[in-house]
Amino acid sequence: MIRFAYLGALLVSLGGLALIDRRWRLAFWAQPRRAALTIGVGVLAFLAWDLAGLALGIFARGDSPHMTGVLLAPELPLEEAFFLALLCYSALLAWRAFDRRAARSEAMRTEAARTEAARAGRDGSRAEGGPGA
Amino acid sequence: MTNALLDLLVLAVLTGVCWPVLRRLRARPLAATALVLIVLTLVFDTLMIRAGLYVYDPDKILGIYVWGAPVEDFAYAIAAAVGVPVAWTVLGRRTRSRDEAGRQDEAGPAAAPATDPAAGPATDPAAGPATDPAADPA
Repeated sequence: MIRFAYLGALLVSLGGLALIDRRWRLAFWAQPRRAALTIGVGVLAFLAWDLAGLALGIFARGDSPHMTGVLLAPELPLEEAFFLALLCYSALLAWRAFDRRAARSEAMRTEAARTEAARAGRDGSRAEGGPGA
Repeated sequence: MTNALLDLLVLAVLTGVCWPVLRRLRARPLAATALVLIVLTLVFDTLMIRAGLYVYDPDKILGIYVWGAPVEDFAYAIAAAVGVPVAWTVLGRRTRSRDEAGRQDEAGPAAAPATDPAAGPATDPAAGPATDPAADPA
């Protein structure tokens, strides 16, 4: 069972992110196809980066007992794909949440400015004796 | 090639490729995302290395550690904060019509009439400005 510790932890983490996604409809619960493609492209790009690092002998698989031992390529464990998915999904959810909040506060500021301008215009016409007189 | 060199190369190419899209995105949400991922990397990279999930060739890394994470590993966090929002933005141009077909349909007809009246007057003055004042009172 210890062999599944890392993969299990990654899956639990991905599940936690999915709950956040569903609650605030950030990615898969907003635009599923777009979210899947974004994560897919990200994972493939990071795997290519990993393969370059492995080919250059920069890092290698550890002798941890917490991995299944299933390999996607020499020295590249199955778990790495799930780790990279977790990295990309975290990035996507964090950015979508921050960007949405920024967009909302921008919209509110614009709305407030418009209301203020409209009120100033109304007050101006009243001062000239428009509707009151 | 050392890890630092590989990472700098990857980040340079990624930023170069993403730049036309990246410069149009809001800066603060991107920076906040990078910060979150850097903190997560700091904690979890440290734990993952302690657990022996992967090992580094000490000759190929700078040997500078932030807590237990080699400084080069933060390149992954930065790359994710740059690449994922750009990928989402670019992919949206192709997938939005399938994901939110309803919303797209609402935007379609609304955008079309807005361009049509603009196209009319734009071509009319070329035909003859003298006809316009005559047509308006009638």
